[in-house]
Amino acid sequence: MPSSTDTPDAPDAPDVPDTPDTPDTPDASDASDTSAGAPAAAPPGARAADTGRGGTPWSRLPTWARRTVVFAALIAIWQAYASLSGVSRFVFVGPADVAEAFARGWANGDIAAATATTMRLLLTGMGIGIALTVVLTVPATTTRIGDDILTLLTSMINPLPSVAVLPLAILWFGLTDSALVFVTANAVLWPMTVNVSMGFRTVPATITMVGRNLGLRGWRLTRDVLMPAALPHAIAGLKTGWAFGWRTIIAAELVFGVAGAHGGLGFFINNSRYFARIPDVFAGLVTIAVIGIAFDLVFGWVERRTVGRWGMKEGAAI
Amino acid sequence: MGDDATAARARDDAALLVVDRVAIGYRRQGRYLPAVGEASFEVRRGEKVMLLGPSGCGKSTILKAVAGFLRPSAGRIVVDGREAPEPGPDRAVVFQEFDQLFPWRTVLGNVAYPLRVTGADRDTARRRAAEYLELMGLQGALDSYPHQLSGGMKQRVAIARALAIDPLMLLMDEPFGALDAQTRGRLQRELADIAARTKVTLLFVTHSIDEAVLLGDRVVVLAGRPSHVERIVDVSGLDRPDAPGFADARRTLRALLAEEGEDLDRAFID
Amino acid sequence: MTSTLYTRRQALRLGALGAGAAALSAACGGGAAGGSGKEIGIAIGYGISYAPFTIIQAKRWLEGELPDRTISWKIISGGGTVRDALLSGKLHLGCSGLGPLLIGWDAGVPWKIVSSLNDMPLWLVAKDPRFKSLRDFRQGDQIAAVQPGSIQSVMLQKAAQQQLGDPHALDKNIATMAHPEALEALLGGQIAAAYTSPPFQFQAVEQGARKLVDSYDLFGKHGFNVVAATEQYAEQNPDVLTAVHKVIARANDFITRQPAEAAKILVDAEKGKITAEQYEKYLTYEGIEFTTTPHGLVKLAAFMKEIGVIKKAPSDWRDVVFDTVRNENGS
Repeated sequence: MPSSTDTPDAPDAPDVPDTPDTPDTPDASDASDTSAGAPAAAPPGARAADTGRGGTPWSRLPTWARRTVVFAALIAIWQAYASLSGVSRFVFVGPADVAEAFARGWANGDIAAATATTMRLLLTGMGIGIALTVVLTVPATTTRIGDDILTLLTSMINPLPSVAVLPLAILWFGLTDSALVFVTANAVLWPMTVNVSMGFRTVPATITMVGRNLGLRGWRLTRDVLMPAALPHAIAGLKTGWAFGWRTIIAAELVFGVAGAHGGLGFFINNSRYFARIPDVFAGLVTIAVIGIAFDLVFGWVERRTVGRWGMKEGAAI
Repeated sequence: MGDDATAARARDDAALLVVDRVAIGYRRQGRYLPAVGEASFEVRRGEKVMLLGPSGCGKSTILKAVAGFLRPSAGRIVVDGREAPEPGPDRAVVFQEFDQLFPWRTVLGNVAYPLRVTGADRDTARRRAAEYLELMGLQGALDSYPHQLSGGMKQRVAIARALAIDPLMLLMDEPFGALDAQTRGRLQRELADIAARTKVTLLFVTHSIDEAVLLGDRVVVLAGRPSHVERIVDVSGLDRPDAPGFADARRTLRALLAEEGEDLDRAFID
Repeated sequence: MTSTLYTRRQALRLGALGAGAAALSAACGGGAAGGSGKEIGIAIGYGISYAPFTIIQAKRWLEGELPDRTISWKIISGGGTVRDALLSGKLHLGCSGLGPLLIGWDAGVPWKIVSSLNDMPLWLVAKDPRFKSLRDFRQGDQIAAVQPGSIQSVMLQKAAQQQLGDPHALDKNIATMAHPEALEALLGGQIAAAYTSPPFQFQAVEQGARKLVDSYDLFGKHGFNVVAATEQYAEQNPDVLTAVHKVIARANDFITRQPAEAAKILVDAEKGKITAEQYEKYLTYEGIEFTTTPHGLVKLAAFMKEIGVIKKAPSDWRDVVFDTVRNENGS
């Protein structure tokens, strides 16, 4: 492993010339900007399309304006189709009806209750999935057998569409919440282990040696050095795991129906369809989309606050 | 530890580090590839020993073995009376790579963390870390993250981090090898200054003759492949390029390395 | 065995979803509901409730009545799915339980009853001797009842109202399960009780379960499955509706008069595990009557309105039927 360290290889990014004066320290909120704006540090051309001077008048509009226009246009087309096509309102409804159903569903607590049920199951499942990820990946980075087991398991189970294990889960746990939690945990677990073990594998050898040099080993080395160093991949894994878990819990709820008084969003959608409340079906879908977007924003924020701030995002020069 | 170590410490002039007929190799696809054929040298307390040799001669390998990251395939490494010790903070390592700092910790955090690991309480660790960072001229960068620093500043942090834990000896693996010439010169002078003040014991790997002469008391010249110790040259007192004897020492070392057929332009230029 | 049932259950549900999606895409593709094309799409199910259609299919009676049309038989289970398919125009006639029919009608779906298929008692059955009445159910004792809003759920709620004083007392115990899985889960001890339908309830009793509730005690004799169509289709194709009603009446008459013959046809058509003798027994079970006339519809709807499943109930059963059965003696 350390054989190549004798050659003085050049660092990946040219450094700003050292100045004897005290360095100016950009405040934390600027951190990500600093790294992105560092000369030659960011891959050139990556953002050319965004910042492109010239171009069409459309591309000169600010992003939010372009997005708003596109969004409004889509809504208008949607409403126009619903109003003008003569399609049955039990098959397809327009945004006005959906907005009304959405507002009503949240006001009377139906959607909120369904969302709470789904989130409770999802977060429980994710919690279990994350714990199992640690249990599986830590031995895999420290022992050969752990690595073999993990590689075999992930290559076998990861390609399975996670909702496919629902029949098995119902067989094992009955028509209970546990079956849904199991399916969700399973959905979260494998993409996370793949990413996290990749993160552990790609921890720079130097960083690991610095940790070992302090006499760290085993769990302490893992917790204090390997885990933070693997954080960019862990967050990527969490994002993927969340996306998988979210899709899976909704799909599972659609198939699973209800056990007891509380049904989740999937059940809400299916039940609304059963009761021919098509605007509610759409309102449920909108809720799912909004929650999806909200979680993406949260993950983005976490990413900016951690690996972005630390200059670790996307393999940026450390 | 125990009595042996105490006894060894007591003898001030005794060697802190003994590298005794050490051979090191790598196993790759079932084949043994020797990197260091046989190397023997000693480092006494407070002494600055330079490991000089051409690229690929195994000088970093020896340093990593002293740090405990590698096991010699033959011979003994004795640190302060302990044979083949595990990696530990008594031999603080400064690497060449800029990514040796923890990117998720601030500059202060990077220096304070090893202090915490080695038993200092939170306040002591922070205070001491700040002191050593000031020593390295980094008092204005305490709250920066490593990715915001230049290469030279990163290496200064790494040196501060190594010194702060007050190690038995400092192991430096071409710490200035990836810096531009100007920064390198400045850091070399600073290190010489600090070493003189702190009386730190230093084992320093370099491929630069000038660096070896400037910073070292003795230079262990490695040659051959697998390598052996060609000669050990005394360069003590030559801490300035205009010191008498500097040119001679440089010529001697250059002659020793030239036998290897190594292109020395790069090694010589600074 | 159990696992295959669960798989089938899931397959059914996914199939239902798929059908819904197909309906949606068909609608988006511009396929308008109704139409008077040559092809007639009819959705039926398996089981003794659909026996008239099995007979009609086997004897090709509908083809005989409508020689210039092509009949396309489809197996679609679930009134909700049938409704979506009817609205999309992919399907023209379909079977639905009274529950989904009234729910759709309440929501404004332009559909009505072409003909009833039969009157059938629906039972709540339990196997564990611990359950002697609805009072014995505790939290966590799951009761399979197809789906909230299904006729089985409504029956359970009526029974809860009568026995426990609160129609919603057992809502938390309801588990969503299709009939075959409910039977399997009941016999396997995974659920406490199952509100299903013939023949599953009969099979449950044959294998040691007991009847706790009989829907005839709650509502009197009532209909179970009906054939429905959209108003638009009915308007454009009165001949099809008349023909369908006629062959159902003929099949019902055949089943009533010659149950042994009918049972044989059912066994041949299904190739299932049920024997002809069993089928004959089920077809002639006390309380089962094959009739085109909807019964108990108004009472049932009134209760569904009372417990909030629907918002408006028909005051006259004729409000939810086409002319085909208007002159019969319904209720």
